Amino acid sequence: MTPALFTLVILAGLVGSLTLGIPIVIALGLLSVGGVAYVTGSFDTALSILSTTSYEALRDYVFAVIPLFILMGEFIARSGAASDLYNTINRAMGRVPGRLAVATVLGNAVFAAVVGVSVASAAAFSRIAYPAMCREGYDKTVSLGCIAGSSALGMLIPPSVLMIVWGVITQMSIGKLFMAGFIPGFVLAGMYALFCIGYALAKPQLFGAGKAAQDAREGYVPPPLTTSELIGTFGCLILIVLVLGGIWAGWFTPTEGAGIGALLSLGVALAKGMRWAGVMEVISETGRTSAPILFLLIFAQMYSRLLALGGVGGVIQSFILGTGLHPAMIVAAMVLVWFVLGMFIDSVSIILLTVPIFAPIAGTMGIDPIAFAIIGILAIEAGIITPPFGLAVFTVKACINDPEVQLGQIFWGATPYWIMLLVLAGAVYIWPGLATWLPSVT
Amino acid sequence: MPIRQRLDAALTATNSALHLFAACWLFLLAVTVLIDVLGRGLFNAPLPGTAEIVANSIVAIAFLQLSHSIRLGGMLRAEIIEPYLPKPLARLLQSFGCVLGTVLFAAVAWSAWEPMLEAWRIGEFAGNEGSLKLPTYPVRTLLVVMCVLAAVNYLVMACLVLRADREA
Repeated sequence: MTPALFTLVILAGLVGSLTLGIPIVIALGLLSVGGVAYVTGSFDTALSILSTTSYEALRDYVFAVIPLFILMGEFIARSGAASDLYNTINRAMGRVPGRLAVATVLGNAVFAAVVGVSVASAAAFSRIAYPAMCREGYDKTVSLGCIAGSSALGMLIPPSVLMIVWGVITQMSIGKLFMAGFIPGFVLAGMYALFCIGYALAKPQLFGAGKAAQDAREGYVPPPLTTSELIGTFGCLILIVLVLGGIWAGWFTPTEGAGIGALLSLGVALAKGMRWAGVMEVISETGRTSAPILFLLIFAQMYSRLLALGGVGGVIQSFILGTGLHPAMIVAAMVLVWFVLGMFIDSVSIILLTVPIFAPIAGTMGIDPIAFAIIGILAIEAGIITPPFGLAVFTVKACINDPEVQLGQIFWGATPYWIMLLVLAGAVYIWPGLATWLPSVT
Repeated sequence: MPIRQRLDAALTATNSALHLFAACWLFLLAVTVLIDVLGRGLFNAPLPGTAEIVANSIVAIAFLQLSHSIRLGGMLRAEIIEPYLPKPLARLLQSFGCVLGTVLFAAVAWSAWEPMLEAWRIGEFAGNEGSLKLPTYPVRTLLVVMCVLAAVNYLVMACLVLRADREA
């Protein structure tokens, strides 16, 4: 079998098993073992690589960062701090048009800086922001679209599980990737907020105009913030400054930051009234999220071995570069692949499957690896809010418990947000400084 | 309760006990990291061997939580054609996926068996000279045991999926 044919067989095998609904971890593992056995001509070699990989792949200090950041995010998410953030920001906004929608965007941006998974944001804000928007007479499509769309901020603003996985796979500094996400994250939050304000000005009836006018007539004054709400809000802010600031300033590594953050967030949760049962629930829930990611990482390393041994990366690289297309076209094609994959499989799997192939190609074309990572994360995040299988949309639907709402309605409402994500990805391609500047000044 | 169900209940109870044990272990890791950072920052005395402890713990924690994640459906898969297939065929595919899971984890256990025996025999150690050297046999043994458990769980799931079909 020539390397080109072998590449085709491997890719077909992957696509085929994903289509059949074989769990991604298992498809990756078995294909890699089979592929390595074929390339080396020895089943024993394949098994020996399997044994080494399963024992050594995770045996590094850096991998602790994944469960520890998830633990930190879970404590905050379960403590009700998201609701506090939302109420505080909402209060601070005063008379901004589309206030609740803008507060959802900004609340997500701040929340994103303490949690590393988009689904956590989508779940939290479905439970908090949706009832509030319903009460004030917001259109359901608009409000749910805003919640699903804003959750994409979760993976862009550090800490982010996607950035950790990307860093591990490409052997880049996780700390630098974290910093690279900051400015694009704020730009995206700004774009979202401006969109909501503009939309609210153009169509106030979709943003509860009637109810607001009624409140104003009746002289309704919202109740003041409670102590618990202030603890939640300031707890989050302190966590952000200490953990992300500490990593940025080089006081500690991302793993250390995650460990300290996890304990600090336990403090916030306890101060907000979390008790033994809640703590145990958080600790147990963390494993449920992190264990599958860690196993994906194990078998993804096996798969990387296969790509290298079988010359798969080289074949695809010379094929793509041989087309003589402009780098912008090639990146656009990669973005398309990510976007399409994002409709079907989870973000971590997408990175593990594609980045070992794409990153070297981007490197050869002279694209900055940090900017490329941000472009990739933006494109993959766009996939989680697009039909048919946008994960964030399904999460929102599952959390709101409103039988009247159709999935299609949420997908429709989220459409402007993924368009903005892709626009920002284009902007980072044109101005890589958006991503590379902040990491370069530390 | 028929014996079959009782065995499965024992299996899931084992899974979740291991999961919870590992979850608490992770929490202790966070404490270890904090002590290390505080010791280094305040007293210029980091906790020796933290990196080695954390690295080995992560492997142990991941494998301890494997079976529980499998049973909860944590191993993600794409549901692309499944909604369009007739129910029995969809279940057959799902069961097939579980059988492949058994094959994969049985293969990992099989491949890790010899290195485990070797680690027992020669008393293999890992770690940097000067900081902390840990024996490798505990994690290596755990890995084999947990992979066998994972393979068993996948096999049980393969049967349960098909059985659900017959009972429905």
